[in-house]
Amino acid sequence: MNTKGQLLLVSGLLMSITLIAVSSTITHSVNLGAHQGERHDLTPLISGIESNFPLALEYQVDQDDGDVTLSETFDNVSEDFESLFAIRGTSLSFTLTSSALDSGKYTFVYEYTLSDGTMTVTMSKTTVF
Amino acid sequence: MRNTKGQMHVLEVLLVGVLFTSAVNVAVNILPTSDADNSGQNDLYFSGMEILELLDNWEPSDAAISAKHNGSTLSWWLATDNNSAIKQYLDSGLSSSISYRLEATHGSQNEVIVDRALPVGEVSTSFRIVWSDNELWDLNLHLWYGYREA
Repeated sequence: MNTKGQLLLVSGLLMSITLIAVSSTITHSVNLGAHQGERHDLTPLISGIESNFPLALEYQVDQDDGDVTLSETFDNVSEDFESLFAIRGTSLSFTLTSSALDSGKYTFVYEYTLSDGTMTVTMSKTTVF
Repeated sequence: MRNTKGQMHVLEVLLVGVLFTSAVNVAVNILPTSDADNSGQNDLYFSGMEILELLDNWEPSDAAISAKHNGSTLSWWLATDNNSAIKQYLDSGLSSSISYRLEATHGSQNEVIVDRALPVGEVSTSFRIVWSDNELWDLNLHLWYGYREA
């Protein structure tokens, strides 16, 4: 009777281990399958920032005309871009390193980090106008 | 005798467990996963992203127009409300099995540049942020596989 009970216990344990192994294998395969063939490419996003962010910044600097600091202007423009990317589930973050006005020439040195959750890219940039 | 029977029973259970696990593993590896993945929607998203990128980076041949619109045909067409040119470009650039709807937000204005009804099924949305006519334009290109209305 005791032996029978032990056998039943061992059988139950083995079946439980088997079930756990099988279910985790299936879960893993389904997760892999769901992302199979997915492409991760930040190039179109980077080109959009590179082409359009400096233009928006130049326009805003011109509009502010010295009423606010250059770093505030930079923050305002970068926040617009960051929020437009955020609503698409893409993380974009600008960091201003330096900004200067010298002989009518504006120079902004900054970097931005772009991430789609799988790939992350940080770009350093200097914009002069 | 009784002990041997018990050992045999344990071995049987082990064997059944191993066979069951192997059978499921083989089945999972062999079965196609194309119905489970979303690579089709992923492809649509990149088709949209790239076609907008190309138009944004395409410099107008007229130097004066190019200088005025930051060397971008997309910026030029948006600034001049040339929606028919945008539609023609997208119609010829996207595969005929893909239909789309293009919406834009700039300033406080929302407008539909190419108006096609969104289907009930899956729709992928690409986007591009464009500087045009002293405004930031937020373009949403909705794409789906299906019949493209005129």
